[in-house]
Parts: sequence; structure tokens; C-alpha cells
Amino acid sequence: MAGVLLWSVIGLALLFDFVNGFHDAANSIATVVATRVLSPVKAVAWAAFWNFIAFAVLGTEVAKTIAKGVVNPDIISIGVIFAGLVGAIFWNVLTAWLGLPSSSSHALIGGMIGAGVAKAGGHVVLLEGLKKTGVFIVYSPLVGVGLGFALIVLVMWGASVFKRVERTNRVFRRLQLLSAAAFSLGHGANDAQKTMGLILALLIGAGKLGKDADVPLWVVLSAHTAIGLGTMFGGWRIVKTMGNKLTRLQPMGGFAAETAAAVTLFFTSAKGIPVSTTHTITGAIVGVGSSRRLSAVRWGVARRVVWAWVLTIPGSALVAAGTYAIVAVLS
Amino acid sequence: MNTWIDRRGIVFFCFSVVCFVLIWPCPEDFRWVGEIMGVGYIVLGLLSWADHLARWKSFDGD
Repeated sequence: MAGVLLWSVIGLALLFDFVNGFHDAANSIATVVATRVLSPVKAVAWAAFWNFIAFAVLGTEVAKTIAKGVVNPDIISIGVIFAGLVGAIFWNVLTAWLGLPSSSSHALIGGMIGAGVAKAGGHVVLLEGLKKTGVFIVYSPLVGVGLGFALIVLVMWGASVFKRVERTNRVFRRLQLLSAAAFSLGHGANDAQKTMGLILALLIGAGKLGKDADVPLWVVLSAHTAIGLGTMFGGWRIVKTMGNKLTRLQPMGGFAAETAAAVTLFFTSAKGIPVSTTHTITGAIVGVGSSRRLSAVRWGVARRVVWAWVLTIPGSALVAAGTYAIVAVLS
Repeated sequence: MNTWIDRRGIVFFCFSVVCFVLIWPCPEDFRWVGEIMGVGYIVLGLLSWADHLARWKSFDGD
């Protein structure tokens, strides 16, 4: 029975990963499709490929933070992970239905905290890990804004010095292939690792692995496959519903935004810091937009990101704590 | 362009304050991130304001 439960919760974690890829596919392909660099079909395949390949490039530090750095790994059980996942999924669905902002990464961390606290009290929350994650919830979009702004100003300055804006745009159409690949790589690395971390915690909690164990290869591969497939299916949905109706962007702007977000994601993934990829690319787009004038930025989107910072972790923690209470009564 | 106040510069200075404030709760290993970002936003804010003033003066002179 315990084995069935364990594999069911691993399946749920991979479903969470799939939905993450499904949701975030737009972030990975929107700019290359909008600038007509790739057709929607090719853009989806390109993003999914780099999502999958990320495991070979950026290690598993974020997975270790999720597994051992949010709540004390000694209290983690199948019930805690199940409640944490239900809290994150329920919160994401609820906020999508109500039209409120959310972040699946923060929802997952909130869910882990809520379920852990419901099981064993507030002392199980690891403050060092929580501080690192909490501070970078704000820092990651701000790095995106600053880098996005600095990059687009540099690129436009270079183009004006050489007085070859048309040629520069042609070059950046090609460079956007690289920036889109880099962003998808960063997205695959940071987001797939959150699921890897959950599964690692689950396997340690169930006694299948030792406390100092590394992430097994099958976990790495299955998490990247799930997010890659999610991106494929999410991308198809976008192709169907949006097609080529996306706002027209300049290739220079798309390149600057994706590169800024990719650099942020590479850094946070290498240092084991879980961040929201959506907030990071949103910050980078805000940075690029503000290079023209401040009113060019859709500040409503930025306001929603701030609300997501405030609401998501406490909200998903509350749902996860409630779920754990029900699990504890039933078992 | 009818005022010398650069709203973008002010936003960047506010971001700089946020970065510096968050150094306090940040784990020691990562404090340099907040320091670099705080200084970076001050530089961006100053450059933005300088650009705005240059445009405002030329607009005013027309």
C-alpha cells in the first residue's frame, strides 16, 4: 500500500511539472513567434528540446534546496509532500479561476511549509533556506528589469553608432534563436528541479534513499521529460488560440529580455535558488519596455507580480496545512 | 517632457532602496547580489535622469 501511495504522489509531482511547462510555454516561445523568427510549431519544438536538455547543463542544486532547505527533511513523509502538492495545485487552480496572480514555484514552497508546519510545528521551517528563497522572490524580477534595461540600451546605442538599425535587426532575429534557447534552458533547469526536489524529499522520507543522497538519474530525466512535454502541449494550445496574433516586437527587444531572464535563471539555478521564471521574464520585459518610456510598461502586470509575492506563499501554505490535517485524520 | 523630474529615474532609485533593504534578511553568501543591484540601480537611475534632462532641455529650447 505504501508503495502505491509513494508512486501515486510521484505521479502527482510529475503532473505538477507537466502543468508548469504547459503554463509557461508562452514565456519561452512568445517573443520568437511574435518577431516571426520561428513558426509557432518550430518554436514549440525548440523550447521543449532546451527544456529537456537542461539537466545536462545546470546541475541539481535547486532540487537539493527544495528537498532539504525549506523544511526539516526529518519530518517529510508521503503525507507532507501530498498535502504540499495539493496545496500548490489547489492554489494555482483557485487563483486562475478567480483571476488572481500566482506563481507555481512559490505555491510549491508555500505548500511544503504549510504541510510541514501542520505536521510538526513552526520550528521545522528552515529559516536560512526560507530567507534565501524569500529574498530572491523580489530580487529575481528586479535583476530581470535592470539587466533587460541595460542590455536594450547597449544594443540600441550600438545600432545607432553604426547607423545600421535594419542590419542589426536582421542579426538579432538570428540571435533570438540563441536567447530563446537560453531562456528555455534556464526555465527547464529551475522549474524541473523543483519537482526533482519534491521527489527526492519523498524518496528520502520513504526510506528509499539516504539523507545525503543525490538526485537519481531517473528522477532527473522524468522531471525534464514532464516539463518538456508540458511545454509541447502548452505550446500547441497557444498556437491554436493565439497563432500569429501576438503583439509585434522588435527582435532586439526580444533578445534583450530573453537574455536578461536567462542570465538570472542560470545564476539562480547554479546557486540552488528556486525562483519564478514567469516573474523573471516579466521583469526583463518591463526593463526593455521602460527603455522607451515608463508609460510603455503595462504597470498592471507589474502590480499583479507584487500581489503574487504577498499572497501565494501564505495562501498555498494555508491550503496545504488544511489538506495535511484531513490526511492525518483519515490515516 | 514638460517637467525636469524623471519618473523612470525615481523608479530605479526606489528599486535601489528595495535592493539595499533586502540585504539585511539575505543570507551572508548572497549579500553581494543586493549590494551590486543596489549600486547598479543608482547608476541606471542617474543615467536615466541625465538622459531625461538632456531631452528636456532640448525640448524646452525648441
